[in-house]
Amino acid sequence: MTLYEDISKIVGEDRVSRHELDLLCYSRDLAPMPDELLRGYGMLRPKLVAKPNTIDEVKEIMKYAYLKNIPVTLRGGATFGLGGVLPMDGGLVLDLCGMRRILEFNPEDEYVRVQTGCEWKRVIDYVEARGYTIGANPSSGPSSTIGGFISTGGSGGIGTIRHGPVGDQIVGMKVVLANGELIETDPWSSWMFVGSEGTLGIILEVTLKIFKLGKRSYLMYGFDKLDDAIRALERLCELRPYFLSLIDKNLITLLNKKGHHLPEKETVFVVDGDEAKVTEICGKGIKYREGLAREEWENRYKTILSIKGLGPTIFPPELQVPIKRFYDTILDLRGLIKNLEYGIEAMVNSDGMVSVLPTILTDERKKSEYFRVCSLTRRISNIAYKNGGCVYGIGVYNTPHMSRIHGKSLKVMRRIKKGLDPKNILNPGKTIHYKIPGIFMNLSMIAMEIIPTIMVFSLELVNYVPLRLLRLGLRFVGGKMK
Amino acid sequence: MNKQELVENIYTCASCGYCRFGCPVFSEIGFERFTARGRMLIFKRILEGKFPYTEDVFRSIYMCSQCANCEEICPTGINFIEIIDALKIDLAREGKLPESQKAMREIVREKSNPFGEAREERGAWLPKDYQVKESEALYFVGCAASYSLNRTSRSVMKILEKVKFDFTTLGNLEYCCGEPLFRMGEIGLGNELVEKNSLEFERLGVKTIFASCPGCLKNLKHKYPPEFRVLHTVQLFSELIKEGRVEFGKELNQRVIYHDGCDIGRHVGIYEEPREILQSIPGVELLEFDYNREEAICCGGPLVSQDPGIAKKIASRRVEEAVEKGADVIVTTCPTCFVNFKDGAKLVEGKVDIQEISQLLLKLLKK
Ligand SMILES: Cc1cc2nc3c(=O)[nH]c(=O)nc-3n(C[C@H](O)[C@H](O)[C@H](O)COP(=O)(O)OP(=O)(O)OC[C@H]3O[C@@H](n4cnc5c(N)ncnc54)[C@H](O)[C@@H]3O)c2cc1C
Ligand code: SF4
Ligand code: SF4
Repeated sequence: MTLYEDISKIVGEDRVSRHELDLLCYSRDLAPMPDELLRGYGMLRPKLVAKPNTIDEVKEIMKYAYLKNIPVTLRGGATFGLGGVLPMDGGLVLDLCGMRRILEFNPEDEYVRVQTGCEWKRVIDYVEARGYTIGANPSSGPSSTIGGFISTGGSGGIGTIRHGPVGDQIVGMKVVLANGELIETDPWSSWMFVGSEGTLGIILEVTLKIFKLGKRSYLMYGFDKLDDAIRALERLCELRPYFLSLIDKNLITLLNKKGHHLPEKETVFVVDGDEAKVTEICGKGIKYREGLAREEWENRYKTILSIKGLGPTIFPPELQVPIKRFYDTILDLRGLIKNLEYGIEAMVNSDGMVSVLPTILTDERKKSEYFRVCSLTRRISNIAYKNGGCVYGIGVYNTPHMSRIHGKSLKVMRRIKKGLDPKNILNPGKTIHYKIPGIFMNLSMIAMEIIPTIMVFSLELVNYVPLRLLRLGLRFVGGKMK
Repeated sequence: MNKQELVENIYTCASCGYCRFGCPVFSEIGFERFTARGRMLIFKRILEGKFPYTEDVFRSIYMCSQCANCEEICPTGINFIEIIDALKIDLAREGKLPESQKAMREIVREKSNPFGEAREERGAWLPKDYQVKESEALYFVGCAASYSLNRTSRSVMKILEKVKFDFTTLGNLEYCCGEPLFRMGEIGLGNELVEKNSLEFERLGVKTIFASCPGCLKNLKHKYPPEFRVLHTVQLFSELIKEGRVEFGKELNQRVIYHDGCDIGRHVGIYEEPREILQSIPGVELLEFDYNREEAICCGGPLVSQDPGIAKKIASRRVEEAVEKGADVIVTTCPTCFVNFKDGAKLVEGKVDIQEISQLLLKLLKK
């Protein structure tokens, strides 16, 4: 029997696809990475996509995959963007978005129980209509799934400054392991799966804390000077509002080109902070009218992507740095990308860390320009490290940073992985089980960075050189290139 | 949309997947090739010459209800519907329509309605002695209410007679508005119908046209000469109620939920008038779907010609939600939603009535 027939038996024929068009779509996430590069990274095409609907189906699939050594890649909304959902070893893609029911809403004990393929927006709309709200949640709410956000760490985003990272709000989870075994976790053991990027288990059901929703204030202040804005931001942290962010002047310029109506200033955005105190702290800035701030809040999921058409490609790295070094980080970033069109947004999180999100406009059709912009990854990461921070998320593209981010705990992580997934079938090619050693990834970045500037080599060469380096790297670790 | 705009739109897609949130096809079939995001990726590949433009792609293009929910939520402002329209126009020009669409095209071309009914029967629902006359106001009845759902047209007629509103219809002289042809990309044939109907409008001195079918409404608004003022019947009714010309004779002690159809809603922007009408009915408790107005989920009706099974399943989800909310009646303003809801309701255990708004209104008027 073929993989197709076997999996069809478990989930039903209408919930598997090996359609050419689907295999193309499921080989991609939201980053328009050049094909050459993905091939260079050793990515294979999936053989099949399955959409399970129940925990039992997932158990059956995993028992089967475990027995037959079939690589399984988990996919939520595919908005992570670091290659986390790419089927590096081919095999089976499990699209978990079919499991998106809200199972239980319990206002007495203040929790909501959901299937993890559910989008954040759906859960938030649901609980807010009933007078409650959610803690940490991503600004990609209409597509990002509960499982995807938890699996990528859920430490940067909306609600984190007040409620902490998403792991703090998990009461319990149901997780299927690589061998098909179902386990249930408590708040403490849930943490092991938070940020594990689908390499340790498949999170299928989560019980999340909910919080009473009061009347919220929406405040926006504009500052002429960046350091005044950041000083205000630092003090605003102490108020622990629901949301706190900075939209830099460059981003405002771009947003206004796309129909926003914001004053061109370094802008601080506070949701649900003590109004009198916010006003006092933001004394040096000018207050925008409340309607404007409310509008921006209602458009919060759309803001950053609304400028995409100006590229039409955007390159959006993410770094996390301590708030004390936030100002320096922005200066460093501005220095690095000053000749490009860009805007910077930053969200303040619970532990005094700031998620800094520079968005650089580019055009993937102009290959040499695009490659050079992509190659900035390396220098931008260095800015993060220089300022006591790090890059956010690993996936495929940030694997060179594994040891730097995790240091000595890497050893423990390897053991945990070995214990839970001895055959390495869950999300292979990601985080600790990378296909290309970091040094070769970095070399390819350097090649992409300098070759377009020399402009001696033809475009073909631009494509060719990183690929060669990656091949070399692969041979070095004994991998195979298909 | 010209080629350049098409290309820019395709490259503007962020692959963020927001478009899947309220997509009826994605929620039922669930694979990416049927989502706006998937299609944009596929189109990009085709533009780059890395993927062939095959029949599978055509099928994916047509397996879409053009409900515009994806466009509403899309953060990058992609004109998905225009993209699909442009591609369909190309396909139609090259004779590459799917078989189901070709069959439909021939029927509309020959009979001027999508049901294959005789043209002479179009006005058969009208009173025997009915005379088409010159008038500034015209009721554009549309194919559905002329043939299969003429309870709607009769209700509209009776309501307006009761309040002494002067208008005419085109009777047998009315042609299909062209919507099914525009929808499949046959704009040349669609425009022929626009011309035929417009000539009749002019001949009768028509200034205002009102339609009970949102599909006709959308088409009359967007594809017909702009000199005609175009309304939906609910706008007219709502005006008449506000002017105090409508008197209710009965209470409707029921919980009513209003479904925003995609054509009357997202495509034309009418959200409040149907609600105003329902709220003016004594005894009505008006409920709302979780996602309503701009965010309302399509009933799946336009997919009936592609895949009736899927269309029905999509409708059943909406019916299910109405039942869960404790609604007694789902009210629609659209014949496509009405029929598809009736079908979908068969898959749902709970009981809920489906009503078209004009018929409901007529039942409650003072005798
Ligand atoms: C506009 C925009 C705004 C964003 N804002 C934020 C933000 O505020 N904060 C933030 O942290 N990120 C943000 N992101 C990044 C991204 O949205 C998050 O990482 C997101 O939560 C991922 O969810 P997803 O469902 O798309 O996951 P996917 O991309 O589908 O998957 C991410 C990883 O998790 C694994 N995975 C998915 N589901 C499961 C599961 N059920 N069990 C186990 N593993 C699983 C996958 O294999 C993959 O490795 C943003 C992205 C965009 C495009
Ligand atoms: S919502 Fe718009 S930008 Fe996002 S994937 Fe869909 S079509 Fe593309
Ligand atoms: S128009 Fe409607 S059915 Fe078509 S892709 Fe968009 S949301 Fe889905």
